Amino acid sequence: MVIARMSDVVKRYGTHLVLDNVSMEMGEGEIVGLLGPNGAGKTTLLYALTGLIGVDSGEIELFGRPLEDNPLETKGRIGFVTQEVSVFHDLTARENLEFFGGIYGLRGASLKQRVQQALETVGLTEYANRLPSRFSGGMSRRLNIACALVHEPELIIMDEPTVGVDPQSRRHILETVRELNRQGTTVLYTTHYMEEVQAIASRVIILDQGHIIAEGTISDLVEQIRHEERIRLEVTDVTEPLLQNLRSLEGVKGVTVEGRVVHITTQVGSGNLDRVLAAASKAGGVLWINAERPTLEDVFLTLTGKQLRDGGEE
Amino acid sequence: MLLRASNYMFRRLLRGYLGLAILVVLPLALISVIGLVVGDGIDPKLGIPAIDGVAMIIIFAFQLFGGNYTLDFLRSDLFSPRKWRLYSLPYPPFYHALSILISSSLFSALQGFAMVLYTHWVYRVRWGSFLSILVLLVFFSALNQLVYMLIALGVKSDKLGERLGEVYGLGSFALAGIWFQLPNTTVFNFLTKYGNPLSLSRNVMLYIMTGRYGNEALYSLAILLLASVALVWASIYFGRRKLA
Repeated sequence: MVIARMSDVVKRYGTHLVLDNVSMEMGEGEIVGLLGPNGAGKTTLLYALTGLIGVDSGEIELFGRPLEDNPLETKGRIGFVTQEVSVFHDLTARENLEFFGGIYGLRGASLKQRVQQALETVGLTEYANRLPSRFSGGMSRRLNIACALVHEPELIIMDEPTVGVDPQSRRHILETVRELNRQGTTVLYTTHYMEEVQAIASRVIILDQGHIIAEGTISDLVEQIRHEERIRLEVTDVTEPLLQNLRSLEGVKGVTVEGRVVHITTQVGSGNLDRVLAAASKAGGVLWINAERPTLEDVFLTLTGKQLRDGGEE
Repeated sequence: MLLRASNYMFRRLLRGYLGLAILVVLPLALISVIGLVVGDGIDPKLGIPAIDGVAMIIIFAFQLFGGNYTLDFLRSDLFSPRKWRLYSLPYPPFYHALSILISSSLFSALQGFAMVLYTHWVYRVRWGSFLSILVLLVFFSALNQLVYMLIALGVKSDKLGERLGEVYGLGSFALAGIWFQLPNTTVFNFLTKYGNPLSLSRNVMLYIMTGRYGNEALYSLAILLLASVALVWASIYFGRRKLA
């Protein structure tokens, strides 16, 4: 069953085109990772999908019905984890969950039970009666997530839920997403962290400048750029003759430098590693060298020409 | 849903210790200090014990600033990035604004009423009917919250909103003749008596406390009612535009 569908959605802010004929679908039980560089339109896409902002043209369906049919009923089936921590700092963790659960229509014993379950899911049971103003960043983010899942939504939309959290909380959040998915919840997950998408997503959508430029499973996407190979080389000294030598090699498509590490993108073919090593050895000392298979990061870089984490928030 | 939301809003208000300090502790301290200065004297203008007049004016004057509760909560919940979370709920945003308005009105009125009771027990201020005072406080508090709600809905800049709130409060002080005597002209005399919310509530209060000044109280109540209707209408108009 298709949970969410966008067809030819266009959204402009003034003259700035933010979503340009975006079409996508999400099936029940999927974890879809939405990737894109800063300003790609990811947050706008999420807001449009949940009816928080109107669109200029196109159609959006959620749970098989046009979004505008019964927006309040539709919102009740979604849990939205915003990029900003949106809990009330003057209510305890439990009170926050009771507030949000109550708005979603939970009452009495079922509310209490769901609040307890949500606290357990995000590992905040011990802190239930504390104010979030005393929480660490990671704990606040976990509470933010708990508030979105207290009513057991069919679809959870997470907009960069791990920004600024410690590794322990990040692991906890990712495990929570997996557990929710195992229980049948569909998840749309936006992040700047490629490794998170690789860890949890069953399908990836890459958005750039308001266009969906690629979508599929991670292996599908990696397959698209299998014609390339990446070689990393650390040298004692990065010199211009070294770089010229490398650039002039047959099959080399690009050379970039990061400190003393040189990244070389070549066409797939035998002998690349030997040729690069020989050229580098002529120009100075080689500390180490390795050839890497393409990753999702490489797919992203190849398709958008940008690093995923190249600055501030969208 | 509205009651449930208001309940949680009320808890949030209770935890705003700075608000309690400014809007309860400070006025009580002022009443105590000024009460010591005026002693057992009689207010020559009003014909009531001076401490009664001081308590009445200070309690109602601080009510003018109670609208900051509404201003702060509207800003933090509906005009900040948090608004997207609230907009994503199956709960129209104006319900949330209304829950803020209701809770803040009741909370501010109860703060005022707590001060009324305190001054009655400690300073023997003769307030008359407590029920009437509570009703007036709720009404006056709602009016002030509406003024601040309108500021929040109509002004984009936070700073400008705060300044306008101060102009409303301090301007009412000035027009009520609290700080200095206004010129003795027909216009200023009218403004001092009926031209600001503080004087209007004082007129009603005097009637409740003494049983005198019935006509002034009636006119004042009518003006307050008309002002409230106008504010509700304006809030709905701006609210529809800003909270749609």
